[in-house]
Amino acid sequence: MNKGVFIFSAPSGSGKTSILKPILEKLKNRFGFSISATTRSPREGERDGVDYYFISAEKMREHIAKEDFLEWEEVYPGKYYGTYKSELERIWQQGKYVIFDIDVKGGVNIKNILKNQACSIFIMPPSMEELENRLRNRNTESEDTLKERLSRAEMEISLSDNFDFVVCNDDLDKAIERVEEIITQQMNNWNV
Amino acid sequence: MTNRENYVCIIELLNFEQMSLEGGRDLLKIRIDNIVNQLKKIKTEIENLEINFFGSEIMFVIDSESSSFERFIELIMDFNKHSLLFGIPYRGVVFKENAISSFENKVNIHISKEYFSAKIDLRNFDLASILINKDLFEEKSQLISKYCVVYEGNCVLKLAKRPLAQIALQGMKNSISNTFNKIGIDDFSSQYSKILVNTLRFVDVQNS
Repeated sequence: MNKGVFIFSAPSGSGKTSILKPILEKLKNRFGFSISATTRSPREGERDGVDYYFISAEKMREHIAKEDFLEWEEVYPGKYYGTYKSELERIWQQGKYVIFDIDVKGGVNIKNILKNQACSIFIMPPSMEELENRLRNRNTESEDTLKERLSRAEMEISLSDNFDFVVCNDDLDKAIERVEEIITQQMNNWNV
Repeated sequence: MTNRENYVCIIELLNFEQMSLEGGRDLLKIRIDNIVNQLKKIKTEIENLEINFFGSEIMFVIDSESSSFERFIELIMDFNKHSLLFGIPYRGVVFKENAISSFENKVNIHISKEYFSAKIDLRNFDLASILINKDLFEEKSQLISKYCVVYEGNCVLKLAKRPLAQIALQGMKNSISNTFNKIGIDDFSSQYSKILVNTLRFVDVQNS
């Protein structure tokens, strides 16, 4: 059984979802998404057990105390995210590689825990100005949350050297191609 | 009372007492929790590691024969970076001690000459990072040079594992400045401005 894990992290607005979507569509039989737990409220269209496990802060604390999480993090004040250890086994049992689409600190933590069992990829925005433009163009951010996201992005970008690979998303097609190359190469390495 | 050779790491949390007085209990608790979480991680990975708190100082002691020293340095390096970017900055020193350690009322007392020399080094050190004692650096140069760079005659832990892209370098410098601002650098003392300026210069130098 392959017990490999791919970690994808990026500051909000870096285009990670746009890069991952076509790749995961193409290779969907080989990957299983780890579903994270979170204390934040579901957004429109999000389903419990599919997009996230939506749990209360009290439940979160219980799971933290029982050490059920591989890692957990307070990503924004009062908003916790955690990765259940059981998610890995669930996906490996299906003969698939695990995909973590996770915040940057979480990605660094999981890489530190799983070491060579994990391949971590950081999606880098071309510049802070471009990142700000992308976030503004979403029209979903208030001025305050925009500032919060940009400030967090600075911290996150400074952790990029902790990742195995850094892919700059200045050209979407090239970035997709590069990520695909990395995935294929890493699968080959694990299968040797 | 036992005769031991130890590696000792002393960390002084910058502006900690001032922050304790001015920042309020909640802020202080968040910062302390952050530090304790990091230390817990280190403690679970390294066998026979002593961790002691003395006010704004934290002291780690590990047996010099320990095979975990490399991992200890690696974890301290992560702590170093994490603290400067997300938490409370500090300066520290790692040194080797030929000491008599004694436990009195469960407090480990360090009375070696090396300990007092290291405390003097620490006071003279105005970079928010960890300094490696010269003798220890020579003894362990092969290992430590993986994690350290020489900056203005001092050997300090690297903040980045490999050269950063320009955007990441700027991100790191902004994060460090934000951390310093959070602890009241502008309001408190010119000493902290000096430490911030030197830390940012160090980040530039090690990335060049």
